[in-house]
Amino acid sequence: MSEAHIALVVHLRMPPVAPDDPRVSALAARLRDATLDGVAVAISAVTLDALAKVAPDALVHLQTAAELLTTPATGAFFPLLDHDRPAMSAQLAAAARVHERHLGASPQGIWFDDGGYEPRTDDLVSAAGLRYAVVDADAVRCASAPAAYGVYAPISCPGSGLAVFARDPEARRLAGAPARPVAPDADATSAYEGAVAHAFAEARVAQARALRKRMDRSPLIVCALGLDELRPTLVAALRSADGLRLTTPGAWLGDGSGSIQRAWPGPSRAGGLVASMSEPERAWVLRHLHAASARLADVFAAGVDAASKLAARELVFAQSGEWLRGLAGGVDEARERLIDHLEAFNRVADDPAAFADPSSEASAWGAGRAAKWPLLDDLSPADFEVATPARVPKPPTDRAVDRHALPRPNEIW
Amino acid sequence: MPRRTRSRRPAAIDLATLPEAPPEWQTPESRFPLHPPTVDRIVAHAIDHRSVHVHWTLTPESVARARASLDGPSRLVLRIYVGGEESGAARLKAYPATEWIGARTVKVGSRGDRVVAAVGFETGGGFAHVARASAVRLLRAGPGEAPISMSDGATPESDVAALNRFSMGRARPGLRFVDLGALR
Repeated sequence: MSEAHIALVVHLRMPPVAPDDPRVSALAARLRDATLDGVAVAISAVTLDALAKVAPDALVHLQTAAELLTTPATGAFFPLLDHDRPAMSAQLAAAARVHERHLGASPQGIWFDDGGYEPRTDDLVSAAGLRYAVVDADAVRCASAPAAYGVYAPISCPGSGLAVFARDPEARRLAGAPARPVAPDADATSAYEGAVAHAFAEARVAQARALRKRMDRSPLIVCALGLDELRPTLVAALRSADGLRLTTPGAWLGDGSGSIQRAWPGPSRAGGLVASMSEPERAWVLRHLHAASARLADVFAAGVDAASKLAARELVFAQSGEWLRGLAGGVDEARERLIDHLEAFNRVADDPAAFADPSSEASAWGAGRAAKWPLLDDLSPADFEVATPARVPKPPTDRAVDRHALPRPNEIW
Repeated sequence: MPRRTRSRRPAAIDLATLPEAPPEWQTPESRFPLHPPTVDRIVAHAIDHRSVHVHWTLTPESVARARASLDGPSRLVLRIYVGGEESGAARLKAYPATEWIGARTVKVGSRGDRVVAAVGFETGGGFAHVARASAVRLLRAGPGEAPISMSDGATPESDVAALNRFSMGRARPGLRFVDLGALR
């Protein structure tokens, strides 16, 4: 019996850009050169849409990965969506649909950007046809019941049955990494990368042995990494490591035996994005995003199909977590795109009826927007429909709040 | 002793005396105007294991209604109700607010606490809610970790040593497990 299983989850991060953006072709080139065998790859719907238009061969190469995961359609960071379940549902539904359209099969799992997880959304994820999610360690650490095996075994959400894997915080450490060469040439770089991969694998072996002494089952170590960090030497080192078995979350669920603990994941705010967006110079974005989200139902209620679809797309684009990360990093494009999509959304929401006439100026403007960002073409109001009610306790009444009564301990919320 | 809210409804609101919309309707930090709010909103996010970020938007009508329900001069405050994770006992913190469209980050509790944020008007003897946010829970762990990095900044630290500080969690009787086969 192997000491431990290890899963590499590679996230392809890309903002929702037009297909002719140089970043799309650059990603396609990197994908063609990447060795994806044995690893799980998470890719967003907007990235798939863009790649499909300019580099369909990259999608073929993508299918050499051991497993393909999806992400929220535009990489929305759920913890900052203000519990907007319709918006989350649309992100998930569009992601699953686009994934199936371009890759020929429904995704089985989802990677949440930055590992951010919002509690009580497991039913939405499950309703999109997904069996498992990969999140940050915080979500399992803060689960509704203490995780018996920590982050080294998934938990299963009662009711929805969604399996939740946590990425391992220890697996980001590099034990005994050699010093980077001062003046690297090709050979030195190759040797350095090989040594780093070897050190990483050795550290995982030591970790697996230590874990195995404490667990009555084989631990699963989930490593999340970017495409830049995935090197053939790393995969080869892990394959040949004594006591480690390379797997994927989906394969682990399929091959595993025994049982899986039932618990609801808690919140995770990894990466500092929530804290960053709470800074005064950036907090205005959340207010605008939440206000726009609240107006979307009014646009749908107007009953103008073209306006509904346009508003939905503009909002979903604005909700991309890449813009929030860009804002935190001082990227001008992120601010410009955010404001652009929110302005467009507000124009539609201010007068949805103007889009009823296909020959109107508003309709021409809307067609121009759709042509400028030809992604998520089939997003519709139906994607925002939530099939299951939120598992939210009844909010306290005024009287209850005045008496300082809060939800009872151990209540899941 | 917790203050009690006066729940009597105002008999009527004199529309002529409604307060004017504050200048914050036009957000100075963005180049596009905030859509005039038609509903009161307050949103709370747990940032980490001790802080929450709260932003709120109030309408003039609600402000007038809340003020009319109180006797005497009142001031706008942000209230934070903090409930302990185990005991459920709640405590109250209040922060003065000056903006109808405002935001504030506050350190309110400790790991796992449940937090309810509300804005309203306070007098010497009463409080009238205008809006109240959904409850949020502070994280039980500190800020999370970024994806692993294979480049600069790697910590040459033994993972085995790190594991000595690792806690597996408190396994306790009553944990419920389900067969893996049920998930397939």
